[in-house]
Parts: sequence; structure tokens; C-alpha cells
Amino acid sequence: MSSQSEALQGTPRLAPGCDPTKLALDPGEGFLLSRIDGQTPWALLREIGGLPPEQVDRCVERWLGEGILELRDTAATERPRAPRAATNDADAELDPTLELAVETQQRILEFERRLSLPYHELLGVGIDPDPKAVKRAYFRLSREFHPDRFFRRKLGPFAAKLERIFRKVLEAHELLSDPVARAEVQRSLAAPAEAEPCESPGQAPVGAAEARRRLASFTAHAKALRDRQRKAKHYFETGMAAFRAERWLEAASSVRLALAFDPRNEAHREAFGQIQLKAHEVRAVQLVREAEAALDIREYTRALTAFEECLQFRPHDADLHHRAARLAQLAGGDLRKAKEWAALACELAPDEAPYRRTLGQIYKAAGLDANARRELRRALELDPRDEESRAELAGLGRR
Amino acid sequence: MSPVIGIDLGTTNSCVAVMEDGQPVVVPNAGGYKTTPSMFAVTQEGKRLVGHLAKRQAITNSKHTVYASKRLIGRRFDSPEVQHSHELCPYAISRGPNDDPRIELGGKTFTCPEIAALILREMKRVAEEYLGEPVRDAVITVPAYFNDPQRQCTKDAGKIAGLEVLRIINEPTAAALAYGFGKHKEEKIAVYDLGGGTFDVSILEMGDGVVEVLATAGNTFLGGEDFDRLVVQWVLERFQESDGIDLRADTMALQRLKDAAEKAKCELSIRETTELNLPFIASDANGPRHLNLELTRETLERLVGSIVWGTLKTVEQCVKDAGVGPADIDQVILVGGQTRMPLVQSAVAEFFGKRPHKGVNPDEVVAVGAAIQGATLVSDNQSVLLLDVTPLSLGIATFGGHFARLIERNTTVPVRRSHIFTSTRDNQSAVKIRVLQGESENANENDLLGEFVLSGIRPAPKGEPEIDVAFDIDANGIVSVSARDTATGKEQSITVNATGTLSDEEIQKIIDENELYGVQVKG
Repeated sequence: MSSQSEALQGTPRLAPGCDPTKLALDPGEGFLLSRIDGQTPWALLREIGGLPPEQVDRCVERWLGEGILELRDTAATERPRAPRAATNDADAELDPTLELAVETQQRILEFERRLSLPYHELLGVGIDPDPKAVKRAYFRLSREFHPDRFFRRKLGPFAAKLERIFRKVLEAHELLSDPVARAEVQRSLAAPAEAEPCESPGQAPVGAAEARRRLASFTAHAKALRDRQRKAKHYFETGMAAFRAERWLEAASSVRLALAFDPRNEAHREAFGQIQLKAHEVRAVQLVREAEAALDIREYTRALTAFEECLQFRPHDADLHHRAARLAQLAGGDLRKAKEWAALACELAPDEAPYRRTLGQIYKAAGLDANARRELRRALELDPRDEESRAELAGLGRR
Repeated sequence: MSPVIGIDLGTTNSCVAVMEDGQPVVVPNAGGYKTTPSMFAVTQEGKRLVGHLAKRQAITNSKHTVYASKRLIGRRFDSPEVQHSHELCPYAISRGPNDDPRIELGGKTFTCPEIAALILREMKRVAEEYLGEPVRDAVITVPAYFNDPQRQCTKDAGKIAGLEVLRIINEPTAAALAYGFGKHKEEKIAVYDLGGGTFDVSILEMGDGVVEVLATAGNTFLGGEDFDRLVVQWVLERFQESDGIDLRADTMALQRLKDAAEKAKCELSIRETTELNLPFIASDANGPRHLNLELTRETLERLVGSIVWGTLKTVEQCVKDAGVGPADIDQVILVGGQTRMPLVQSAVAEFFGKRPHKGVNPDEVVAVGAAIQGATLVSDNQSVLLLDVTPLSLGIATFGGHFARLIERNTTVPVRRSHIFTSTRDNQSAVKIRVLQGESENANENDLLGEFVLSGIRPAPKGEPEIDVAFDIDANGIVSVSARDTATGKEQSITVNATGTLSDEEIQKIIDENELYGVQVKG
């Protein structure tokens, strides 16, 4: 994946309840919106969205700001899964018959996957690193990956991997520690892009062309990174201003964008955690209010949507789960979801008879009589005066 | 695991070291010497002699005693260096079937790798006697400026001597490894290596057990023997002035003079004056003539001063290539017997603005470094890691005889570099890729490592086809070159440095023959 994708972490999806047909979009934007399926990461949208990447960014940012889209934080939701998937992949390539410890094999595979990172990230140094830090990182990685470390050993496919890794480390070190190359990067950032001169044999300054190619990739990395950090800073400041003004939702949205552009910024991440808590609470209150208003006018489906969203922000609220479950059951909604919520409510508050009763009733509606009987009996155990449960049980007995 | 030995195969002296209990040990030969002359001789009776024994009889048997054959190894017979030796050396050098120089001794023709193998075999034997077990693996050092054929021939020599050569490393690098062994300081060091026949300088950076070669430069045509030659010339002139006799045509006298000059030079490293005493050096109508001259340190320094100052030009270039200044260097290490000369020491000290490091033995440090590298490669617990560079630029010949560099000198290996080339004629169907090594812009002045043809290029106007030429050097220093027509995907490639001056069959034949000869060896 390209380096941009690293910073543009997050996958946009349509906000629940949003009807995109009501938006005023041009066909290009419409196409982009049609690509947003909650699965395609932002970075990939820049490539397949049908618009120039900058325009994709502008649209996504605008829609995020307007609440049409939400950004699922890939970092948060997918990270726990990703390493496991990666390990599985790696396991397929691991070979205990090689003269290479399995841990070392894993480490090599893991590092190999990072080779497309910008040079400074590969070496684990800052964007404008101190030459000494570059040298230390280079020596450290050399000690780890130089092919001589595994001289004469049976390495299988890992021999080629080690050479590939070491060459990349070498390239990163070479550019990050070469003052001339770095100066040229600065110059090329300032100067307009220049067409690659056509090479013909005998006159070709070969080294220069090669250096240019590598400089170009370095320049692209550096420029993209600086842009992203600038954006991140801007969004973070906007977000904090909103936070101080107690506009929690706006603050959360901005800081989430800041994080999308600069996912490694720990200060942002920490602030985001706090803002998110606030924002979630505000949003939850708002949603409960929406749901209740909808219930008043018997718009059960809308109320259910609001409850469902609200559950994301209050994962430990037993009462809310219970209300959602009852509503889903009564409104003829998805029984599977209803059962899940009711079960969660019971798990969160095991001594509440009404939650058990609801769970029992849902099982009953689904025709799972044995389960229904079990839950209704528990409800009666918890509250012997629960006549409703008794009646349900009696009804079950006749079936 | 059998130990790996490190061999410093020098122009004038060789040395062997081995790691014992984690510490490098320089192995003395049976005579108690830690270095062995790189000399080989065949006596009147057909006996083969190596080392000190060969050196002791060198004067009386000069036609059949080989010295400084390292100057010939891996070179072509027509090269100026071989021609130079051809004129000066008392032993006979002839043109071999591969255009390589060969040496006639006792009615037999020897190749240069064979001569080197005889010395390597002696070093192997010295180590085996000390260790009490057979030795198979070795790391051998060469001057940093040796090109690929010279390195390959040295490797071939190891093979002929019954050694598995794990790695060929550069002499100054080996010295740095020896210096850096067990140290974890972050330092930049300079190694100034002035040996018998070559001059090398390297700038290295070390830290955390990693030794990185930043740059290396040198001159394989310059060494202590040039100092001796200048002294000999001076003596010849003095003798002609005083006695009116020109000794230049008298090989016996020249050999004696050469020995005396070397001895005097060494003495002047610790004394201010010395005497050259050669009785019965010549005779004429007036009877026998004796040579008796006083040589002062001052005179010697006047004679060789320009050589010493000349080496500093190379040092300057190397420091520049390394991207540092003389003041950035934390330690200066002197290697090679010639660095014992006070003038050399003061010149180097003046250049770097600091006194050279005194903790290493200039004759032994290279072998020690080779032993460290050998042990490190095969052990699980690696104390040092060497990040080596390719000392000479690699590239291809382009239209008009130009040299297009793909890999610049001082590039850390392993490395891969590629570049797009094109055709020079309309509808050109094939291109010849000539792989060269060297620093000249003129293709013909560089060493040809190999060549191949990429054919089947689709007919197109000149300048249109794209031919992607890629150079690859792996961790063992093996160079491979490929050329690919990007339009058709057609590809041709060669591994270029598998050839020294001998073919594999020739090497095997020599190995088989040597089984038949017992080599007379003594300390």
C-alpha cells in the first residue's frame, strides 16, 4: 500500500439514518459517494474514487464535517484483528526446518511488510532526524538484518528477504544521512517539477538519474508527510477550540480528522480519547431524546435506529439495551438483534427480572421454547411476584 | 566446529591468526616468527622452499626465488605493472595461455595463484601445527584497491591450497575490525596502510559492534619496496661516483643491494645514521671493490619525501569521499611495516592533527582482523558486523567508448542499481553489454569483467527501445549483471566475477598435480 494510506487511516461510511439521495451532488461526487461502502479505506478511495486525490480528500472531509459520513477508526477497530491475520499469513511462510529461529523468521516477515514505509519511519527516526540518530538506527537494523548475520545458514526464501530488507535499510540510511541529498530535497520542494531528461547512451549521468529517482521518492514521502502533519495540526487546533466552547461533537469530529492525518501523534490520541467520551455522552443523550420523540409519534423504526446508534456510545448501559431489545421485539424488528441486546442487558445486570422476562419473551417469539422457559423461570426466581412471566410460562406450557 | 583462520597474504610478509577462547591469537611459525616471508623457491636439486628458508637462499638462487608475486596476481601480462616487474625481477616471467603472467622456476611454469597457494598452504600448516587439528576455513585479506580478477585469483589460490575461503576482505578493514574488537565506542577512524607493495587508506565508522566502511582509496603500485628502490638508486649513483662502476647490470649485486637498502631503511626508523657494508660487491682490474656508505635519516627522508607526501593526496581524497573532514577522525591506525618510519608517522599525524594510535602491531593487525571476521561469520554469537563497500566503480561501456557507472565506488554491499539504456542505430536488434570496473571515464582504461549480448530487440528507431540494465552485488561480493528489453521482457544476464585468470578446470588440474608434490616447509 502507498505511504499515504498509512496516515489516512480510517474507513469512511455513511452515517446511520442519512439519506444520500437528499444531497446535492454532482455526478463525480455521486460516484465517489457510491464507492463509500464502509469497507474501502480512505486511502484507497483516493485511488478509486474517480476524482483527483485532493478532491476526494476535500469531499470526504466536507461530508465528515456535515455528518453525512462517519470515519471508522481503522486503528481502533481493526488493529486487534490485523496482527492476528498477519500472524496467520506469517505462519504459512514460517519454516521450522530452516536454520533460523522461528521468532527471527517472524521478525523478518514483519519487517518486510514495513518496507514501503517512508524512509524515516522505516529507521524509526523523526522526519528531520539528527545524523547520529540515523546512524544508530542504521547500525541497529544492520546488526539485525545484514545477511552476514546468517552466514552459511540454510535460510530458504528468507535469504532473499534479508537482502531486500538490508538494501532498503541501506537506501534509507544513504538518503537520510546525505546532506547533499537532503539539500536537494529542500530545493526540489521549492522548484517546479521538471521533466526527466531523456537518456541516451554515452551521455547519461547514470548516478545522477538514479539519485534523482530515489530523491523523487524521498521528496514525495517527505512532502506528503509534511502536508499531512500540517493538516493534522490545523484540525487539532480547530477541535480543541470547539472542545473549549463545549461543542463536543464538533471537537470530536475535528480531532478524529487530525488523527486520521497523523495517526502516530500520541498527544492527539490522548486528547481524542477524552473528547470522545464527552462527545459520546452528548450524542447519546441526543439520541435517546430522538428515540423517545420518535416513540411518542409511534415511529418505531426511527426510534430503533436511534437506540441502536446510542448503544455504541453506552455499551455498558443495561437499561438502554433492554429498551432497544423490547422495541425491536414489539416493532417486529430483527429478533436476532433483539435477543442479542436482551442477553447483553441480562449480562450487564444479572439480577433484573424484567430483562430476563424480555429475553424469555424474545426466545418465545422466535419459537425457542426451551430457552424461553429457562429465562422466564429465572425471571420468576428473581421476582416471584412477576405475574407477566408466570402467564408467559403458562402459555408456553400449553404449547 | 573447526576454527577459521585469518590470513594476511602480504606482498613481502604473510601472517596468520586465529580466535582462541574468544581472543585473537597471532600464530608463530616453527622458527618463532609471527610473520613469514611471502617467498617461494625451487633449489638446484628441485627442492621447494617457502618462507624464511626461501628468503635465506634468495641471493644465491635469485633466478629461482619468487618474491612480491602479489604484484602480478590477477593482472594481464601486458599490464605496465607486470612489465615493470619483468624488467626488474631476477626470476623469469612469461606470458601464459590466458594472457596471464607465469613464472618459470626449476624447469616448471607456475601461475600466480599457484605461487600464492604455496604461501597460503604454509600459513595453513603453521596454524594447524599450533592448533593440533586440521583447518579448512579461512578469511584472506587483500589490498582495498584490488579489483575483481585480483580478488578472484586470491580466492583461487586459497582453493588450490586446500582452503575454503569464506570471504576476501580488505586489509585496512581488517585492521579496523581488530582495533574495534570488543570496543563499543562510537568512533570514526582512519586506517593508513603502507605495506611492502601497496598503499591503502580507509575511513570507517564504528559503534555498537558495527564497523562501517565509509570510503576507501589507495594505490596498488606504491609501497615500502619503492622506498627500497630509491635507496638502491641512491647507492648505485654514489658507488658509480666513487668507484666508477655501474652495478645496474649485475643481478647478484642488485639483490645484495636491495637487501642492504631494506635493512638500512628499517634501522633508520630507530637510529639517525646507519652504514651499508657490502664487501666484494664488484671487482675490476684494480681488484675487488667494497661498498661502504653512510646513510642518514635525513638523506633517506629527502629521498622518499615525495612518496610520503604523495600518499597524503590519497588520504585527502578518501576523507573527502567519506564525507568528513580530517578533524572528524577520532583515531588514526597505522598498518604495514613501512609506517614504522618516523617521517610517515609525522606526516600522517600532521594531516589529521593527532598522533596515531599506538595499540596495534602494524605487522599483525590485519591477520587478527581477518581471524575476527572469520570467527564472527560462523559463530552464532556475533560480536562484530562489518559493513563493507565496493572499492571500485562498476558500469558498462556505452557508445563512443564512454564508461557509464551504475555502482559508484564506496557503495555499501549488498546493493542493486539499475539504469535504462537505449539503442544507437535504427532497427538495432542486439546490444552488447560490456561490464567494466574502474574509475576512468574512458571505457578502455577500465578492467573488463565480462560481456554478453542481448538480442531480439524489436525493430525501432534509435533511442526508442528501453533496455534496463541492472547490477547486483550480493553480500559475498559476487557481481551479476542483467539486461532486459522492457518492450519484450527478453532478458540476458551473467555472473561476472567468477573468473580470475584461471578456469575452474585449470585450478582443479593444479590441485591434482600438487597432491603429487610434497612441499618442503620449514620455519
